[in-house]
Amino acid sequence: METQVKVPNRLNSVSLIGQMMAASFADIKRQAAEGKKVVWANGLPAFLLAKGAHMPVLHAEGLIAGLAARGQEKPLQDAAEAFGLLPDACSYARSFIGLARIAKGDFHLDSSVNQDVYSMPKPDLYINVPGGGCGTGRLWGDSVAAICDIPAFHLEPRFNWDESDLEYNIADFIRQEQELIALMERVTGQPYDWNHLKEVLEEVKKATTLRQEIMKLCQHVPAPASFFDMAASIGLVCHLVGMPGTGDLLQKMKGEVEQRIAQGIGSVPVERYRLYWDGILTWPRLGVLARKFAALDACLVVGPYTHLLFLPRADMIDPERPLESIAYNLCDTCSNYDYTYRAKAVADFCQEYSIDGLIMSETQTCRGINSQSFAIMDGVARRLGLPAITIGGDSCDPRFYSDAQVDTRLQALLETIEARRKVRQL
Amino acid sequence: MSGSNMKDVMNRFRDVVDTPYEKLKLWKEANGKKVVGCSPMQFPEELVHAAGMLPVVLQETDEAITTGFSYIYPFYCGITRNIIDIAVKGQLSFFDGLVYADICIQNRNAACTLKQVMPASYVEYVQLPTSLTRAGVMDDTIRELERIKAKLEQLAGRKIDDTSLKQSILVFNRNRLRLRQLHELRRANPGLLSYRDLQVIVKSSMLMPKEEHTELLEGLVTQLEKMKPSSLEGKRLFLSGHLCQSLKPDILDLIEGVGGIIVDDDLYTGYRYYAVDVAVDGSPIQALAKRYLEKSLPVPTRSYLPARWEKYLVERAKDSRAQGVVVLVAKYCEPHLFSYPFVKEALEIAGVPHIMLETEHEVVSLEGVRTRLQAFVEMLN
Repeated sequence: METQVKVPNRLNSVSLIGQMMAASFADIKRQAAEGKKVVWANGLPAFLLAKGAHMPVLHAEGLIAGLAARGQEKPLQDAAEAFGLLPDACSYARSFIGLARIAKGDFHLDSSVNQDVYSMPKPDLYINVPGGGCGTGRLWGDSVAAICDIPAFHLEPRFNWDESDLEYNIADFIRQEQELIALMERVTGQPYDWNHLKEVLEEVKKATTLRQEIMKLCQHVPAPASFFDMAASIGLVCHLVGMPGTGDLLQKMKGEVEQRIAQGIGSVPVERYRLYWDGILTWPRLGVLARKFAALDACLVVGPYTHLLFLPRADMIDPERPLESIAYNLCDTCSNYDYTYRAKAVADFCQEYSIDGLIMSETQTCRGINSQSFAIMDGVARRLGLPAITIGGDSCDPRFYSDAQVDTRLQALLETIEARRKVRQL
Repeated sequence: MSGSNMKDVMNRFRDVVDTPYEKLKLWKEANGKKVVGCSPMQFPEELVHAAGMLPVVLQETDEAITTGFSYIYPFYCGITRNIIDIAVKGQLSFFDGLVYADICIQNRNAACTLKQVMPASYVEYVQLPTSLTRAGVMDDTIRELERIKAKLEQLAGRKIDDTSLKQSILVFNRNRLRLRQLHELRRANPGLLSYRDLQVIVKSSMLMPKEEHTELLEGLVTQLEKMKPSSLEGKRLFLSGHLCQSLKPDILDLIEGVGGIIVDDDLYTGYRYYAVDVAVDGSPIQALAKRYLEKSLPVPTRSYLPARWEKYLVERAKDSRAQGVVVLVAKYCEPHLFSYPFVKEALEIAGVPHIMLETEHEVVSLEGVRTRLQAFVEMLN
């Protein structure tokens, strides 16, 4: 299969995100050195509540995805596996538990490894905010808390089994937020700074609104930005959530996207196939995958991971009502409903973004994100007459990824799209 | 009860366990009662019983997973894949309802998939608090139990009053009491009953009307109490793991075949199922909530850092005077995968030797397991 002939047109502003992320990790170390209490967190950005307690937050997936994309995840996974964690366990969690062991001094890295990359301040509090109600987040948080001997708080939205559950579930989530705030006051010994939280929410509103606008602009053909760009932008509304400058960076990104639309420039040099991606990216193969799709004239345009998971309800963010704003963004989102709700969202995506085919990524150590892949394939793709495939991979463990398998299945998908186009032309 | 009667009782239990869903279907036809399948671990079956329906704990069968792979990936745990597979094949359609509890993400996915593939069936999802240190957990638990009670009343077409719920609690407590008696008898003298048979008895309790099971069990316990202890030669082993699904008998045969004597366990289809009763004084819903929050054994599917599972496990293993622990991890079981490092560490610190074995729905390479087990048993003092 032809590869590396055409290269992806990555947005220039995306490289600034990496710089901002790197600066934030350095800043967490600095604040810890100054005596600030540090939060480690995983999952969705409701942990932004820690901002009101002036506690710097190290977000697991934000750190690990970046390390994995640079091929630096292995020492963390080695640290976890030396502890007894098996590779079938969530690789985000495994890596973060490895980081906790290193921070605690229970695991010593090989001297050939860049120690600074893995040296993070030990946490004083753990906050787990699981995406899609993933119970694994609880195990993950409890593991880090047990290793580091700190409290863990599980800020868990109740699942909307019926749509009528929503009202109670939002009230329940707000109660949890209040309890977390009281805990943070005990940990820091300081009263909670509600004014600062409101300021943070102003920035969050600006950033999430802009991000939604950028994603909507990608309905344009050719798509001015890809799923890869949008995946990178998750950092701005997750690990970096509410940080000054995130909104400005997204404003820059939007300007670049608008300029591309005006000039007819797409995210890939030739856009012949517009594809939907379900699941987490295999971060250690980020570059490989981006180049692979560009070489095949295929653009990954949209997916629930980028578009529906991280503070997707910008419209519901009101800085004057911070707890309610966060609660809606956790409880009333696609991942917190079952198949029927999600199928409708995916079908809408396929139509709004002019999708030609669907790719369901098997994130093999994540049992949360994959749960409805086949239902989507059966109930959405076939109903809309779109071909769909599954491909193997994993969020952070490259051992679950096979280039040969991905190539074969992608080829089959694109050939099917072509064949159906020909049939339609007859 | 004579020896032949004991055999009859065991055969009756085996019959139920070997083909659970066929037998339940026949039972339903014969008795004209509604049958409700409950996902393992946290859901109080007493609520279903009090509504005049038969509660059963869903069991993994030996059937090869085929059609189910159109609905679920192979990297989900055995019981999740198996239940979805047999549901898709129509084998669970006779159930009047399925009640799933929030014990892990895979259980939630199973509930969602069942709701989708069995549109004509009543599928309910129970969300009891999972963070036990949170404020208001008692109120939340009671509220959720009341909500489910109302749903079950709808399904049954009758009210569940306190009197009937208390009566159901008594029925279940009596069964648990007899199972504990049996457990203690066998613990004192493992030669009385093979561990494989003990598993059959516990599993059949999950699949039969409790009243009938208790009656048969009482006869069995009485008979076993009279039997002369037969001593067994071998290494005393404690079984841990399989948090929500039963063990394949092959692994038990292997353990006993290499010279191990299973003296005690911490399995769901073992001691965990009958360890704790529900109080019968006061409000029955409150009593069910208290059992869930305050009395249940530590388990990693719920967050409660002050009482970690591994500490409890070490105490139980030591208390049983086991020479070693066999940790059985159902492949892809995340609550167990994340707990194992702590269990391993705690056992090592306590000086209790252990071996960890991964088990799968598809039994593979028993010879490899035999070799590992043999080496483990031989190294025990």
